[in-house]
Amino acid sequence: MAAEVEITVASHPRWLSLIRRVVTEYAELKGLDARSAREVVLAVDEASANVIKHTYQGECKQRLTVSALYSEDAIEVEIHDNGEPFNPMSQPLPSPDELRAGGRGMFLMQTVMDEIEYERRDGKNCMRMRKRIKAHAK
Amino acid sequence: MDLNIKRIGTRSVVYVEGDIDLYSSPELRETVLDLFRKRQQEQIIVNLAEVPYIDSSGIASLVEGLQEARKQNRRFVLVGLREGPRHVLELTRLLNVFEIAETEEAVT
Repeated sequence: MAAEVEITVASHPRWLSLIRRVVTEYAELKGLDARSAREVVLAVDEASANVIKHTYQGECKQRLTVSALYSEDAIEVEIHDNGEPFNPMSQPLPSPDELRAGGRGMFLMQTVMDEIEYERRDGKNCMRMRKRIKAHAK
Repeated sequence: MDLNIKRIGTRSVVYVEGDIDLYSSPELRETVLDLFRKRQQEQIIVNLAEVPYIDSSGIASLVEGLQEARKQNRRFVLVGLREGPRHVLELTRLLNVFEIAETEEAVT
């Protein structure tokens, strides 16, 4: 994917807000409606938080990269990390109707995005997510 | 995220300001659970009027509050939900699980 926007941050949760800001701004520049933009930001935030929590297990000095491209009525986002192989989609998905505290991140991502795939590429984990959106490009 | 707690009669109100995400949710979780541990008021209210964003870790913190409320037979109410957090509660099918009010005044 030839991304138009890319941000790399240290794997500390304090930088999640920065990722959200960049993706929000990009979605706005591309003319996405507020609801779609919010859903894409949520999915990116959840995927990035997964990397920090599960792949890096709280190790804050690693790196994660988020890149995005809007074209042909769809937004595509990739999240890369250098951690050990970890496919979040291979984890069992708890029922959202069960009143348990955690485990809703992947459910949210799958609910708001049209396609999600995991790939191990060049020694990196890569989550690719796609959402079809009719935008009014600015 | 900033937290401010006020004790008003039979209720404790937690005013939250800012995004609730993986960075900030542990503080919210601790604050809410601490109120259930230390204060014996009938109601714990979380005012989210100044919260534009919540992620699944924030939702998890609120669910823990709800679980504690049910255990102790106390009320746990969310007020002032903005569009973003309301949308996330809808997506996670929790909108009808929590007690939700538009304003603090509307909580009887």
